[in-house]
Amino acid sequence: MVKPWILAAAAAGMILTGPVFAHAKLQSSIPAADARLQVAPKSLTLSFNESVRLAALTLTAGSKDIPVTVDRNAPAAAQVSVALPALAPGQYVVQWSALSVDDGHVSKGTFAFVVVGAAVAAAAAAGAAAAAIPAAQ
Amino acid sequence: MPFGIWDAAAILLKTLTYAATLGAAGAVFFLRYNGPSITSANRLRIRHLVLGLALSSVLAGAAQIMVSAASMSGSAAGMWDGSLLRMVWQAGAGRADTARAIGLLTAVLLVLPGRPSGWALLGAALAATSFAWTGHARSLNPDALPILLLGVHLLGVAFWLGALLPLLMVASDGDLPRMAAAASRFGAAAIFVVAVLMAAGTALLWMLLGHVAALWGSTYGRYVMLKLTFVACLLALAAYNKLRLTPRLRGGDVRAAQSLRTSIRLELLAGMSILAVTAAFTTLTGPPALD
Repeated sequence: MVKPWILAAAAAGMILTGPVFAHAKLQSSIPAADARLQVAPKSLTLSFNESVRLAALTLTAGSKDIPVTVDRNAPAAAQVSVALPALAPGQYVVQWSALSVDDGHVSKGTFAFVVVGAAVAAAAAAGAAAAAIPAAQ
Repeated sequence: MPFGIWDAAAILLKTLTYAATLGAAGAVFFLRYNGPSITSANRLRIRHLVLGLALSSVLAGAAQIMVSAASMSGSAAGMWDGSLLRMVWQAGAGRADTARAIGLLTAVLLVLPGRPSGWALLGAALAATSFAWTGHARSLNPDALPILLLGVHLLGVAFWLGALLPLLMVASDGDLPRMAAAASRFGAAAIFVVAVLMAAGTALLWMLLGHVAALWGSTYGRYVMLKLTFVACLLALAAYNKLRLTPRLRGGDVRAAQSLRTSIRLELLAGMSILAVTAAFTTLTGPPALD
């Protein structure tokens, strides 16, 4: 005999399985999620499906917080940008939260991108080219 | 984004705000149509209930704004961050909270001295419908009809769920004829009110879902089905009260009084579950029609 609370937990699990915080949706970003960039971006742009006000944005590289300034007095818009400081090669994680001006709901999200750096990218390209020459012969 | 402590707190506070506001408004309605037939001691208790629920609603609403700010910042410090609080306030919460507070204050001031006047009912209605001033219905385009439907739905919910605590108070004083009279008056009005609230809720749901398959094909739809399961439980209990217990009360059956109290407590549990599920899915998910 299956206990009622197990059935209730299973039902709740099935219901809760799926995307959450699906209010204002992040449609795209520059840099894009999982992008590998040769040149460090000077700004970060988030594009949503509706007008939002960006409430918070944190940028971290490993355990190091990169200072980013968010203008909370900016008018609501479907596209919001923040200026970035000079970024060294490495992996960066972006965490953002925004407020929809239509329904007053909070949306949150996180994504990462990598700054490879021009020198590293050039070296990697040269390595790939060198490896391709014997194969071609 | 993972479900966090601030999201749980937001859902809890939203549930409390719903329950306190709709409870206060419903108790005002109850006093209006049932006032003369209940004892003065019960009328006083119900007035105190309105006052307590109104205060709870205002406090929970304010706490909800602080928790939203904390949720956005990701830390408790956000609760005191003026720019975040202002942002939440300006995004609709401020307008809804202000309307709710004005409505509840009007209702409380006019209910405390005696039988609720028309202005007290208007205040209660303003408070109950304040939830339509923000939320998903406002995101639909055009939004006039969805907001109107949500307002009608909320008034019906306030009438129904808000009557349960006053009914329990009346059912606890052992006076069978008064108990039967209160249950009969409520039951007679409830048939019409519940039909209207279900019709308004169904029409609004259709607009938010977009198509029937979204009921099982989306997270939002699955939450709605869980809510409808609790609504079915509530309807079954209400039907049992009206068709079985109320006639037995009229016949002087003392055991029916105890059964009615138990049934009303179960209705309260089902009602709180409905509000909690509603708070959860309106916080965590968006309707498919807005995708």
